Amino acid sequence: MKTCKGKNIAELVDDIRSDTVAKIRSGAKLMTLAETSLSSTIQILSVLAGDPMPRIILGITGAPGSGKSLLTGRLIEEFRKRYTERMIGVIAIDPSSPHSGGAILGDRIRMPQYADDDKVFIRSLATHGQVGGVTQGTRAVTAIMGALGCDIVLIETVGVGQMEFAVREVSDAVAIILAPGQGDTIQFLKAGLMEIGDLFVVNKSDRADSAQFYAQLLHSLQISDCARGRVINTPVFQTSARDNTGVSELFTAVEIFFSHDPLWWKARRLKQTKALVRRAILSDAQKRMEYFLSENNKDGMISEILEGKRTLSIAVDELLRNAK
Amino acid sequence: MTENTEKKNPIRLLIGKVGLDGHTRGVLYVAHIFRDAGYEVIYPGLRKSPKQIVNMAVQEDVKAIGLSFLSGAHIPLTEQVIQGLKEKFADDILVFCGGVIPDDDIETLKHMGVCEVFTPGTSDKKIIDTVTALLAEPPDENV
Repeated sequence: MKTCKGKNIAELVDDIRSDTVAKIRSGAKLMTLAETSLSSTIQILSVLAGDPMPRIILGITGAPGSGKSLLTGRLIEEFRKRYTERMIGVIAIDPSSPHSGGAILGDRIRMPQYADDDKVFIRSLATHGQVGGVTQGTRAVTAIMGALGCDIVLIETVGVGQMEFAVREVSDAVAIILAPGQGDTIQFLKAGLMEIGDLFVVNKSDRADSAQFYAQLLHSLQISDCARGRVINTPVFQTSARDNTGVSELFTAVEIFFSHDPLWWKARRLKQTKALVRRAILSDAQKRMEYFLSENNKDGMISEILEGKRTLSIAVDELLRNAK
Repeated sequence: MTENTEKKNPIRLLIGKVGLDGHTRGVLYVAHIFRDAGYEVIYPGLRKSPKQIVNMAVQEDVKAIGLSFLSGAHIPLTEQVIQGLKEKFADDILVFCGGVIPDDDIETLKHMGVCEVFTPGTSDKKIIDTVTALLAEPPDENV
């Protein structure tokens, strides 16, 4: 029997465009390749440039334990109820161990009922030391899901703090999931994570302290909206993923949010992808310089800079001339 | 030169339970030791059907599946997982089992394609070393 082992990018892409049994397996293999390096991410993105992209790419982020995974599961459920013929993709990201490099990827536990459903493609990814809440291959994995026929892709980040907002660079819009007990008006006004939310969700609204939390959040967001001269207030939703309340309203609002001005979204995605290529170029350049520095024993150069025999800028000039 | 200096990503495994068996201590322990040995472990939760395990393993592109049993249903359930993998063109994914499995059944499991069976009392080192060695040698390519 033919397996998908050992196929190259072009063969895997042929498979995912086909309608064979190998389609899903090859898509999954391509995702593994996308995660191996930024250069393969870029290669896959360029091969898939003409393939369909998902209609909506929604980032879902928030602190650990806010209910991101369960809410993501509820959104899958709502999607499958509304569009019985369409496919949805989910990228669920969990942290890698700083000690062993290993990981336990357990977001699937909160989305158990979908493993039977061929229209739901869930991929768990580990951060591999990346900061920012997403992985370097996320963009390409999204593109692969699009090519496989996913109409919507949900990107669930690792549990984040105040400073992880890379999800913004790989999604059309970001939903920030909060839960009662996570702060007050001042907390919400701080710079960082709270600034990147296109919409906010107060999850666990079944809890007694949820109403007050909701009111404080609204208050802060109104101040922010006012300060930035926004005419439309940032939308806030109340859900209980546990009891499955408020999810349908959230889903409808997300769809409306994305329904206007498709060209604007398209331009935004192109801009994001270009930024990624730019990062890949810089990262590759840096790697080559590091290689040159270590391989050619440029320790002398470093000492000379320290001793004032050479300026930093002259040393860098030399590096740029010689590093290949 | 850039490609071969890339750090390799960790090997991905799915460690879980199939069928109506809620004894998690063993499976969680094994998931944990693989994590600490540098593997990426997909943990799917309890009471999964063979079909669900196969779908997850394919979507997650794991190199091996570890199935934990205490229920006594290891033979039919493992057989269904292996059959499901074949149907998805994914029978290069290794399957190993662990848990309370009678000696007499180990041969049966190995005969159906299970690469290793770990019974109670096996040390964590033995489990990691065995699976690492099995994954190091590429399985036969039956093209």
